[in-house]
Amino acid sequence: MGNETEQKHMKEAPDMVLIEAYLNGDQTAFAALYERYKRQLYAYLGRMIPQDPASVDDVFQQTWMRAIRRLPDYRNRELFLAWLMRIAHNLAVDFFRSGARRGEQSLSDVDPETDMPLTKEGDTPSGRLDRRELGEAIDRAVRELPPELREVFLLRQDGVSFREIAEIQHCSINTSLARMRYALNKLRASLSGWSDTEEGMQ
Amino acid sequence: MNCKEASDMILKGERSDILEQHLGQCPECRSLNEDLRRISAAADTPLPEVPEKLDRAILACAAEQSARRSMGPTLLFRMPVLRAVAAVAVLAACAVLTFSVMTNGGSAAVPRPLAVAEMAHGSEEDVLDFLTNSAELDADLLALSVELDQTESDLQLMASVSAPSWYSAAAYGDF
Repeated sequence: MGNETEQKHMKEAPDMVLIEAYLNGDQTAFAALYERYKRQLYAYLGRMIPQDPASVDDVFQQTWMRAIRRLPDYRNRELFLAWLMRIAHNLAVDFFRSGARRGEQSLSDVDPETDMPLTKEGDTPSGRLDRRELGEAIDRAVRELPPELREVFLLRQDGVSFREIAEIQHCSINTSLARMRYALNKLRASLSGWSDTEEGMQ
Repeated sequence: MNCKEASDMILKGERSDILEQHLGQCPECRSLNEDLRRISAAADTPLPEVPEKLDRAILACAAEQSARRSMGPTLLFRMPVLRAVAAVAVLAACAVLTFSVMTNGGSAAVPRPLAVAEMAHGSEEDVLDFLTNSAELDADLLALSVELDQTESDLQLMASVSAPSWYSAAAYGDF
């Protein structure tokens, strides 16, 4: 019973409380923090590095290992998730950059401003889409976004603020807002053929 | 309120009476608001499961880092055997360095600049990590050398107390 109460307390404790407990030697505190954010980070990396699960696993592991080493430096000025995403972002950039150096993709395929791969526009779904297909269509359209726009959209889905996105992407808040606007317009254009069915999206 | 202000609020997920009034009057912003809601809802897919092998590796790393942080140099100083081993290791390292300097005419390879240059191909965080770790190693070596001095003094004292009078540190000189 006592153990259940403790676990419940861990689940509900603020991030900073868990971090301080872990830095004082409490392993269960880190486990709770990890459990809280691992799936979001994994989903984010899966969409940032699509169709390459081995690389997703590598970057995921490196992100957490770097975060663990730097936890003593974490300050409660920003969301822990945003801090974690910033580490993941930098590692993903390194991953894309090293992929270009290894010749897995041509350097001309990498955006010189963001060091992330330029994506080629694929066929966009068109026509009437039912509810079942809409999620897949959205997923496809998100993958086709240029990486910096994709990242803004995904981070917003995770509730990261535009101020924090701007810090992660080393740009101004206006730029991150503009990227989100642009991403949304591209998604709307990709899905311009869909409409609500009778079951509807409501 | 103009459309730019309205779209900023919509993207940020903010709400106000003024925005609601604008949405009532502007079909474009209303459409943007509705599309954002639908796209976000459709993109909100169930979160994937993380492979267990990753869970195990990361939790093990956390445990190891925690143990390393709690160990630090103080544990080393409390254990006489470890102090003696550390003293020997420092002596050996000094001997190697001295030999290297003598045979290379003073140009003993100091790996740090080369390593940093190599690391320059890595990310800025990698370089900072390396320099931080190097600084920490320097601090540890300094602490060990202080401890070595103390160990040497302790051993000289022990020798003078336990040995016959002719068996003195003065006869044998420094270690």
